Amino acid sequence: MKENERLSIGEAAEFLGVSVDTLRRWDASGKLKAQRSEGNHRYYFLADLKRFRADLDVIGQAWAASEQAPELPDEYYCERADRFTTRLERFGMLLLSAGTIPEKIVSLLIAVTGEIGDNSFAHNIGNWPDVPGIFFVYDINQHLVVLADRGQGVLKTLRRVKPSLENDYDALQTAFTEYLSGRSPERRGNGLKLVREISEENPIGLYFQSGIAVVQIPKQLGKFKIENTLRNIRGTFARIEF
Amino acid sequence: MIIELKKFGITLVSRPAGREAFSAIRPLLKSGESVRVDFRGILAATPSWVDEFLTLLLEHTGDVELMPTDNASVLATLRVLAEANQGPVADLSREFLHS
Repeated sequence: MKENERLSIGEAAEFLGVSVDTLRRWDASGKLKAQRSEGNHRYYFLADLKRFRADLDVIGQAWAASEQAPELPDEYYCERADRFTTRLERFGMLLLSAGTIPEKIVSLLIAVTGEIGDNSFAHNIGNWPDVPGIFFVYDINQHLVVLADRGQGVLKTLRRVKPSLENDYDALQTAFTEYLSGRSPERRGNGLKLVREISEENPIGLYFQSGIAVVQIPKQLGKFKIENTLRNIRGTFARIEF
Repeated sequence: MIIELKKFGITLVSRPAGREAFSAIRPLLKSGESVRVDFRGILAATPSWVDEFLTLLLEHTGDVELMPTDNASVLATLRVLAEANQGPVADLSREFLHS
């Protein structure tokens, strides 16, 4: 595709992973203005769509970090776990049919995405501070997945099984490296250990923040590291590259 | 009997879904019958779903065998379960990985 290539509204909807109706709404509200042909049909320049898509990361960060929850298009928001599972399955099928990534990596990527998204629901059920659910966007062309929630964060939820945890850094260290045997007071799946193992050994990169602590695992094979940042996120924010 | 997990979907992710899957299969389980779990046709599985399903299955019938699979996420999940928990699910996972 060339940068100045024109896409119809249907093609643009497919490119961004949203519906045609959403694009019409965005056009009306000015969020993403369409061009108009001589026959008054909407069209989009590929370069504009690419720029808009680069903002997915920013939208996810805003969803996780802002005081008040920003409004999200339906396509980016999973209020309940069953919607997340349905969209996750569709993401997997799309990747398989695209055929650009080996099936083994698709399987592992879906497990990693599923684990991180499901954690948000499993650990916040009945305790969402304001808006329930998660931000979940994937982009097959950019090889990117973004997940975010406005939940309680890893430190607070992990303290239920390990009360001695003092800060976000230690919470992420425990979540990603330590096997918790606790069957009570709640069952823990040790899923973030799975995420680390898969990401370290396969071409799947991870940026995962909760509180002020960030875990990073490079896309090319490499070990995970944790560091503190200045900006706080109460819930969690994850970017997965594949 | 053989339980084909693909009947519950191709992405087996959450603990509640694992519990639901067991509830669905439970009326079909005869007491004392050995059960084989078939992962064929699955795209991805996570420790939460597999732990929940196998824990309930093992509580119901002690005689469970995991059928061979080369699904990468299932193998990674079983490695985590083998290391994480002391108990029947960990034993079953270890037995599978060492066979």
